[in-house]
Amino acid sequence: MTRSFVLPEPGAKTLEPLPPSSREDIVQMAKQAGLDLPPALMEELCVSYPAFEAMVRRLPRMRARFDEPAHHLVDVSRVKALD
Amino acid sequence: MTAEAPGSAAAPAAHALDHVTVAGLLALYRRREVSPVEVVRHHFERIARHEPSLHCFVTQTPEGALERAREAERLWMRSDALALAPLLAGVPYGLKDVISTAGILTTGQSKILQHNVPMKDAAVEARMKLGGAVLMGKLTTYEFAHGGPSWDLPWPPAMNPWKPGYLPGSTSSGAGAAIAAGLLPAAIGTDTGGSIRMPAAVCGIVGVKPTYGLVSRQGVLPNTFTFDTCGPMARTVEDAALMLRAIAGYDDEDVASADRAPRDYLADLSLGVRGVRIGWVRHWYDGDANCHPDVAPAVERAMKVLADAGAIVEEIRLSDLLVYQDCKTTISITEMFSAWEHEFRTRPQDFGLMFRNKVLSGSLIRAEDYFQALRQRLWLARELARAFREYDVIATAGWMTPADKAHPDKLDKFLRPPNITTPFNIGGGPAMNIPCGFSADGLPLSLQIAADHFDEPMMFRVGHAFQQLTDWHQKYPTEGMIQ
Repeated sequence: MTRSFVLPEPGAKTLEPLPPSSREDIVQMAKQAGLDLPPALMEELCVSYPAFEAMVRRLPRMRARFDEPAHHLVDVSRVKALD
Repeated sequence: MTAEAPGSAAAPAAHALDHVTVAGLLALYRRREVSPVEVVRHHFERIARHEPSLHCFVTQTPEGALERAREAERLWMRSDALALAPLLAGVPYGLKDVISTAGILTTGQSKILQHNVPMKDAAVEARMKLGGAVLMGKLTTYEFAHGGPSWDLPWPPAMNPWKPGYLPGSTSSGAGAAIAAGLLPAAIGTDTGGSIRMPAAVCGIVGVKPTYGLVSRQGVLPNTFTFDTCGPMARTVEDAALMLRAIAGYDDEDVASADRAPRDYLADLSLGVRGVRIGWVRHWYDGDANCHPDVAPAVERAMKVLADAGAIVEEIRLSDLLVYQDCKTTISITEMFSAWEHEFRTRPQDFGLMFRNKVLSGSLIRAEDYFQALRQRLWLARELARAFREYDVIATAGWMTPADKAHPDKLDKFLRPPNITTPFNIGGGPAMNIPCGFSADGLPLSLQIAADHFDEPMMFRVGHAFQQLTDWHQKYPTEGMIQ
């Protein structure tokens, strides 16, 4: 018998139902992000981004309000003054 | 059906030093049977012979190496050498070229830093120096330790010594190839999602991702701040433990460094596995369409070896790999874009095609998406913590396939199939790949062993026991195979 350690997601709702961004959407988002890409590189972004957008939209949303993110800096006393 | 590697079983080393281990070298030095200078010269001769086809090095450092070897030789010749010689005195090693070295080119395998010569050593290099080890050079990686091989960079990708035309895995690829080919006994790599363990798997060596925060990343070019680790690569588990002893420890210049005393990584090596509880995650690879058919039988045989030696092996289930991968990659590309944002805005064309394709999309990830991924990360880490409450180690396949064939004309996928090493980056604890067989066409296969946070001694104990019961780690490509 296989034991499962999978924790049931409290809010399994995702953004998958949203329609994929169009090429025009991606160009607009890149401009809003302040990217000034040569045409060939903008084309690369338009080709590659949909795979990443689908990935991000699979992330579960609707978590409990107190469900915190994993903190990188957990011990504030570690913050040192810089010389 | 897995098979013996063609030629490897009947491949005695042409020279006693060809595939020597770190532990073996230290024993030879203690008995004064060989000098560090002789060892360094021997390895540079092998590098000269095989580097033209393997491309393991971005930079070689023969002058500095000989100087450090002479220092080590003087130490070993002293009558009080056993008391005074540092941990790794005279042991040759290489550093992945994302690790800063004072006065030595550190490129990140990128045009962006093609002429970068740091003023200061990374903390991990400083510790290797303190340990008396001998830096032989800077090793090939993928651009800024991410993505796949890019063929439009100033340096060619490393190649796998087990089969011409095959890749040595990502992204500590030069390290994996160099150790497998006997050009080096050891190296330091970096692991953000599997970049130490994957090349270890497909090159037939040992690769260790330590607990996040155990080894300082100060001076290491960033990939993903919240996942980056440095760790040892070597031929045996014992060698990896010896190296980790030299590089582990608190560093107040690394904000993620763990302020706790390192443990004795060698003390438990010989305790065996009787009574050790192993949670076996088979569903990540068995039956998965992306998994090579030779992987599952090899891992099953490895589990039987450990069970026969007295381990308690039970099959367990964790979240699907895609869930781990989506979480990790969302965090990674966002942090990576942030780390290189200035260059992406000012000279994006100077990044290789592969890096651009895998990181530029990080500019479009929204803050709320990044934070949802961070929230899920804690959720998944807690799932692993629950499993480690019941089991001493978790075991699974080291990689889903043997080495991939190199395709210079074919663009890698934007997102690869889910990665079997990533869950332990999410969890933050240690994980290690060790050889466990060969595919039918003679390429290495690997077993992955992971332990709870800072429990490297248990991980090494299980891995070392496996290596005492098998001889996969003693096989290496013949000279004829390295072309």
